[in-house]
Amino acid sequence: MRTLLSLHAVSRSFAARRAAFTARERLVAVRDVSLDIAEGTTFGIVGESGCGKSTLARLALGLLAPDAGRVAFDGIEVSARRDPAWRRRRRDMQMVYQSPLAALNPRRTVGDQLAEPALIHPGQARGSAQELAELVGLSADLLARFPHELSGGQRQRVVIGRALALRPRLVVCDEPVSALDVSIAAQIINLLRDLQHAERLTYLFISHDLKVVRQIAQTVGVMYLGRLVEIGPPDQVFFDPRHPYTEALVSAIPDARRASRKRILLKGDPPRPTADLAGCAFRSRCARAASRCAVEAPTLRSVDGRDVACHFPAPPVREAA
Amino acid sequence: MTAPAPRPAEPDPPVGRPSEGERPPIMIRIALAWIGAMVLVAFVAGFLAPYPHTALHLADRLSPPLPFEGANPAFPLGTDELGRDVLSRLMVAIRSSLLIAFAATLISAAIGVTLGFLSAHFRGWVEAVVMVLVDAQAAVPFLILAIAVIAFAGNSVTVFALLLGLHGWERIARITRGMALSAQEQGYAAAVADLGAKPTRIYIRHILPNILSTVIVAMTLNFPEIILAESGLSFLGLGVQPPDASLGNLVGLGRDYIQAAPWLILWPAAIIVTTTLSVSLVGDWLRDRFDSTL
Repeated sequence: MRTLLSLHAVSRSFAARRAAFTARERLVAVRDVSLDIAEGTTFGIVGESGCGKSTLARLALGLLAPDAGRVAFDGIEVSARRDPAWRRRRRDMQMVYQSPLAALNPRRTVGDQLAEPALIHPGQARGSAQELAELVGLSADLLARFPHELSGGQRQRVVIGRALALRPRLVVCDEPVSALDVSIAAQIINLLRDLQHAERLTYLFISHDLKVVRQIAQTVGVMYLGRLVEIGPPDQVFFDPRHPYTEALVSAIPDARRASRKRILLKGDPPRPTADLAGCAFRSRCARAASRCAVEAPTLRSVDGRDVACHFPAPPVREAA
Repeated sequence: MTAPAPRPAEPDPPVGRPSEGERPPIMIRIALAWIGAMVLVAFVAGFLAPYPHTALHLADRLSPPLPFEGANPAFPLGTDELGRDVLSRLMVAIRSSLLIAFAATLISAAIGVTLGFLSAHFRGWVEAVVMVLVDAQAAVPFLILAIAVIAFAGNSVTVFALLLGLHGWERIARITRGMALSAQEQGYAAAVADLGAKPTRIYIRHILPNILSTVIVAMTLNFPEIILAESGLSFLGLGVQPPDASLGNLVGLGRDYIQAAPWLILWPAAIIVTTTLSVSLVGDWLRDRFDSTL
């Protein structure tokens, strides 16, 4: 399968001030991330709040320029300069947002907003608002309503429909269901899966919910403090984690069948991701940390069918089914 | 077997907006009626005025308004020191004052919205320059600025309207910038940009309709201040020049006769107070109507 989106050693930092009258420092939101997404597949990203997931999404779409590294879509470098080429590029790559209510204009009807892409790219968008509504399972009589008159799930359908109006090849979903009820979230996940098959879409799917990611992704990347620490198929990563952070994440999933399993409680908070943070970013909270971890930052290396960035990856776990 | 059930319906939140179709309170209705009457007078002053506003009736100088002794029924609101009909002059004054205030309000809104959008879009040094201008405008008393400009640029109705258009733009620029920034941050503007829309489309078709209600409210608060500034400058003799009439210069000219002929200053002053109060009340009411959180 060909690679549709490829990030190579991408980093991005932001200037931040800790308090008044202190020097500015640079916080690294995404550090040296490389990943490839094959066409028609879903790459899931999981990680805690503030680990750089959303920054990664914006870098992948060319909404933010990386400080270092490069982003390529279908072999062509994605620039973040907002020129006509950038605007044309939007037809290929679209985004589904975490908060659909915020992403919709409060004073325009749903039908208007579904028709907006066709006005921005004349002749390039598909059909009418009715067609789009049908595509995402919205009834046509909702088209005359305003966003605040819809439920959360219906709003997210509008956002998805608007994103698909331009027949994109890549859709970046940034926490698309985290604002929704569990049952509605499941409907939206099913819709995204159905659309992926019908439209041959490629997804970069960002979530903090491991179960959701496992349902939809063929590959999953675990992110900690701006770095990808483990990449692999979800069954391997979630059932047989090797990175200590993944182990802790997975152990936090409540599961009635495996109540006896020990939980790994991480102590403390993540350190500030300043540029001079040396060694492994996870070492301050890691049970296996050794002196080497303070000096040398681990890079991703292949361990049993997945990539792990750890000097001391866990041994395979074999749990009784 | 029944037909396959449709996708389980997501609950519909209740439709409908609060407080629509409600009649405004009595004060607001009076204020709206007064504003309507003033606008009507402004439009038809040319036909309605019984005399040309410069026509002298030297035999009937300083004749008092109707119910008082010595009033001439031909001049129901009295005459001034040159025997000019106060009613006619008032009508013409309302026309010129409202016209100038209206033009100036639109000018200040246009300047404010444009500069607000520019600073929100470009950030960086453009924003810094606009914000410095805003602070400078807010720091300089408007009347002093106006006097200085008139001293240099001379006086004409056009200059005067443009000058008054500099009143209050800084508040609208601040509001516009803040709301445009928050629109970009909260998403709908960013989402349209992510679709590939050009900045002009984002600002004019998406952000402007969303902030328009706030801008209109700011304009209704600006309008009475502009009427007062116009009156103040005309009172000082820097605004509309005699023999043309504006509400301010009628007050200014009537001041000399405040004891002998108080009606000369009373009528225009009463109209200034009533009109500015009406517009302020309506602006307040509009703000409450537009703000769904109140």
